[in-house]
Amino acid sequence: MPSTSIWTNWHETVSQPVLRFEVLSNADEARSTIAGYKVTNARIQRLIGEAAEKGVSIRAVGGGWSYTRVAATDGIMLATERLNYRFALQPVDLQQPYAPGRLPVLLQCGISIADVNRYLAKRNQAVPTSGASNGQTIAGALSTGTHGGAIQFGAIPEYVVAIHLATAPDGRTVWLERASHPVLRDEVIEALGAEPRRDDALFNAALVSFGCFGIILGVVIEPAGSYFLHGSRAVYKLSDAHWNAIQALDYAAAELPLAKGRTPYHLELLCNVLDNDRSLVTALYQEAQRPQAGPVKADGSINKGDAALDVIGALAGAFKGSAAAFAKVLSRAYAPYENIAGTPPEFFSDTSTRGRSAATAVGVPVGRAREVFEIACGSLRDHQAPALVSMRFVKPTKATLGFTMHQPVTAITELDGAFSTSTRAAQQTLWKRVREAGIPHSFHWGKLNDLNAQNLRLAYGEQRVSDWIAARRRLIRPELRRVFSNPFAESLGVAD
Amino acid sequence: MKMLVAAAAACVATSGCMQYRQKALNVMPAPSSDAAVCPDMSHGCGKTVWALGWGVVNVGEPPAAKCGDVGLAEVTVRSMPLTFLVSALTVGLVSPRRIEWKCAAPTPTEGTLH
Repeated sequence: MPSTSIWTNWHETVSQPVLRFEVLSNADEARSTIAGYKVTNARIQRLIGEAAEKGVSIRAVGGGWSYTRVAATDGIMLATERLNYRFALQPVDLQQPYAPGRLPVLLQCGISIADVNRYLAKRNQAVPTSGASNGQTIAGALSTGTHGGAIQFGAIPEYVVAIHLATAPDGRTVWLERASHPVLRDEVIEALGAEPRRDDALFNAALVSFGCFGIILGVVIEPAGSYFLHGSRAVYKLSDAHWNAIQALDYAAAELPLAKGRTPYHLELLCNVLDNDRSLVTALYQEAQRPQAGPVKADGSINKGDAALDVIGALAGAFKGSAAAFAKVLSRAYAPYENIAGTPPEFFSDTSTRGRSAATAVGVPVGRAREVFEIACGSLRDHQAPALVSMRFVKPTKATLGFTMHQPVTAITELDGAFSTSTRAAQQTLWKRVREAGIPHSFHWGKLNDLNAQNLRLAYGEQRVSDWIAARRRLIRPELRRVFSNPFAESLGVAD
Repeated sequence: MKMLVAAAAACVATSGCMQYRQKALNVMPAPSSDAAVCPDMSHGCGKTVWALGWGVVNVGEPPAAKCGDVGLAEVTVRSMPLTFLVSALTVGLVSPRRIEWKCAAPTPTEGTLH
């Protein structure tokens, strides 16, 4: 069937001809109402029916943040960013008591992380973690296992406790929860037009399912109470002792900035390889009250232009030496700071990255962190790529195909930069060397990777992949499995 | 010189260069109801407009953005090397620019399940 438009993702790495690009909106965009929520859900079910009739697949897309084709299809794409209802849950709705100020909320699929932050702030709550920026929708960030750097908490799937899904064009929608952690009372779920299903294995598989388990209509999250982050970023030469301490999770011994014997909430290592291996350590600590410290950042008068990454990527391809010059500029952008405090949204705020960029993230057990960090730095150095290497640490996820799955903590190595042949080559070298070294690993679903059916099973293990497929088969009727698939899922051998 | 040529080539080959953006505070961009013709998550909707005779006549101005009850989240004015060249050669008599815009996502009030 002929395509009618071309969808391009945020980072301009995917350009997808689409049969139909449907912008969804709630009938009443001023007030969150259950009646409006159900009307929108019914419309989504009709669109699923249309996809099934035409024999094409259907995918929801949020912020378009993913670098990969995970959200893309040539069938019907549903833009969800206007679907941002938010509902306060009350004790009478819930199966179990919650502490005051910790009541969960129901969020419609298209609400952005930035909007969630603002909404929760009004409730004196906060998300326990988010990615480094805030343009993703809650459903998109969940479905790709987006992570921050919360060593003691985990990634976004860890605070999602219920998922409302449209899995068929007819009948009731599906309300998924863990049997071990029921959330909403059955009569409330039924009032939403949904059928409750409580199953730990099914829920854990659906958490990170990149559209293959149906269209996510909404999710219930358990927010944290409001909190502040307090810390510093320092130029830091990581010694053997530092690495040993980090890999042993002995942060007191790592002598991190402002540590005072505490484990940081967020720890990030960054190496600008082409600027003489200039390394920085960011350590942020969780505080209940705003500490006496400076603000997160001051406005600057000189900013990176939107075309910066495009121009740098092209120059790096044309001139071998230009990447080193770019590295010097990057070092200015990543300046140290000391004794800074703010809310999480103040630290992880609106992205400044525009233009064509390339990012990859490889998760490994923390015990192999140094090895992979050095492999990444070596890959970047070998290809003289206009990019940076960084590492964050995240508590393991319960999601079956969650990228942050490694025990006891997942160390995430990122190699991000301008989209150039050298950056892409450095990323491919990183993936190859990690595999050759026999290091247990996983790939971020939303960032560039070379996953295929074989590499998926090598990374996540046959058991996890089989469990995920089995869960999907229990949820999605056989004739609809292709409707909730796309070429990305087919290339992984998980579409049927 | 070679670097300048490469940079110019990069601008032409990619999304363009020399762009300026004004954003609204505390809103996030979202597709508008006419996004079927501009489903570009990075640039939003866009149109090339022409100012003729130093601004006496504007040609090709886009219709009002279909943003529902909310306004625009951001507007970008983009100059590409070719449009810059046309403006320079005609001393501003013919001055094309690319305008891009994104609607703001609505911010509904909080609801309850009852």
